[in-house]
Amino acid sequence: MIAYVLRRIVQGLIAVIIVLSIVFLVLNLSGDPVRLMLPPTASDESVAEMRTLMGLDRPLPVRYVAFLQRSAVLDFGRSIQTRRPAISMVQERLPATVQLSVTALFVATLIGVPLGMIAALRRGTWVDRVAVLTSMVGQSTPVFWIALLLIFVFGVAFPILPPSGFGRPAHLVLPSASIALFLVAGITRITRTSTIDVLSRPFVTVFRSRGLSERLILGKHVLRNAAVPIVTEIGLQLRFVIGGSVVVESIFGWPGIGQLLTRAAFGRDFPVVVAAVFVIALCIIAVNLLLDLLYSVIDPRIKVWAR
Amino acid sequence: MGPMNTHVPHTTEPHGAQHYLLATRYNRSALVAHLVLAGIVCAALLAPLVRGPALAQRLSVSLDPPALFSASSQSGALLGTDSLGRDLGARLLLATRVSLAVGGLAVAVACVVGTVLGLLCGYLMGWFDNLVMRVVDALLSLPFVVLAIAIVAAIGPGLVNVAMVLGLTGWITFAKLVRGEVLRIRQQPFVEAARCVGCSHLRILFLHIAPHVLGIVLVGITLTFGQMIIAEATLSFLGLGIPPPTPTLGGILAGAQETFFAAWWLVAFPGVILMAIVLSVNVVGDWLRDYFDPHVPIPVVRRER
Repeated sequence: MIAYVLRRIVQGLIAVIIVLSIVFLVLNLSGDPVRLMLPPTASDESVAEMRTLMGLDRPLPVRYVAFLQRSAVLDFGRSIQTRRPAISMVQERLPATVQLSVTALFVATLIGVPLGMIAALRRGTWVDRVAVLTSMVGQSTPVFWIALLLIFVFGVAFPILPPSGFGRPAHLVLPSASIALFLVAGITRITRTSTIDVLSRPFVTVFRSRGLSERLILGKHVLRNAAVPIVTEIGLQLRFVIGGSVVVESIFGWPGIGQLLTRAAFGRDFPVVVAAVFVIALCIIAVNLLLDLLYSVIDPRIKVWAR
Repeated sequence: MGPMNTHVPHTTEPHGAQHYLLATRYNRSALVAHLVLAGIVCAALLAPLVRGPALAQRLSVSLDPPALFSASSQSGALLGTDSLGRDLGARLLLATRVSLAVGGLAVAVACVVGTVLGLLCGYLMGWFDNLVMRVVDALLSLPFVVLAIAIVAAIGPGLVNVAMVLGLTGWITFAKLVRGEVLRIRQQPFVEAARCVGCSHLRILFLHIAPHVLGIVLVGITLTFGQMIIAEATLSFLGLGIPPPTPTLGGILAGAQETFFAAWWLVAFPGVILMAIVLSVNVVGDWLRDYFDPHVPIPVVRRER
């Protein structure tokens, strides 16, 4: 098992290096950061001097190796706008994004799993149709529009929740609900499919004929057997959680990585963009590794390391 | 039209497009989605007719409520006007056109790049396959929007740029789908037969194998099209997509934030259109997936109840 974990960590690191390489290539093949940093009236000499100062006069492969070496020690350079180390700007904002994402994921699971199970049990009835329709509509609705609607309803029409801000738990409600509504769609869908599949297995019939309570059958046996695809889905959804929070943070003024990334992209503040992309990729890869290991806890028959 | 469904009761089987139309007729939600999509595409094609009112600023009727719902409308604009007095309905038509164009262009780029890479991966296997799949894994560890924002930061906003960015981030879906399909197909006897009679690898791959992945590519197109349209709207909403003079659904929504309290129609209508496009594309996509799946029976006659 340790060998498996090590192998997965190495794979994850390779993925991070590839992400960094792609970002490096894209940023370096387009445009000249020096021109952006200096005033438009700067002379050619001072541009050349700045370029030498930043090491941009060296050939691309040399810069690439140097870039990877510095990335290994989390040095992504200083922000062009604030002159502060890019990585620490991202680090400061990590907790806010984690808080938002975890809340959204938690709420979505809490709603989506029961909804999906109910839909599976009442298959073909109106409950099922509503659940299927909701998940279909939910997956087709852009997160930022849900956010605008929620602000409109709960912040303006019936002002019971703060439409923006950060700090108190009430501030967390609207942003996380915006992301969660989208996630609920996916989780409901996969739970429904997975539960329908498990319900058709013989052991359910056996338990029912033996007179086990429906609550025990569903809550313990069916859920546990249906859990693996659900956990997989949650892992896949993680990208959308972070992607959603990037968008939502800008709308609600939530001081997370997403807001930082969007602003940095606006100002073409490349060091901050790279640092933010790096941290996001690292988080997603790490969580997916943990979820992978969780499979064998949920279903002992699965030994991920034996594959 | 790809693999025919075997579950057809009649001896005189309808073929190709006719089979597709007949099968679609008896699936109510798919039928509605096709009609909605066709309507939206027609509206987008006719959009240049309303370019005049879309661009005309009339500050005297700024933020005029929709004539459709309100008797107090002064401008007569069916869906109301924005803060500069421009006709929202006309702007939405033009914005829909932009959305579809960017989505279409992005999907085309993603489809070509992804399909060719998927074909090569599935056929060659080995180190090339490994390399491309590593890149796919790496890109899968990033949210679509984050990658797109990072690239836009580098190459700058704009219609073609956004389409390119989305295309170059969206190819992974096609590469994965096609690769899986090729891995399955290459085991089949006809590929071996082609090799035995001396076909070159290129000929086998592009003339014998490629036609069999058309169905899955079509499914991929509908799966990613909705995603692309949402992504474009998101980027434009954040101000990193297509810059303002061009009307976009995301851009209109971004502008609507400022007049939130006064003008609900500026928030409601662009979102509804966005949702209608994506929802109908997704329903058509689900339907196509069933249609091309040989395991799902597709009746072409009305089901007996």
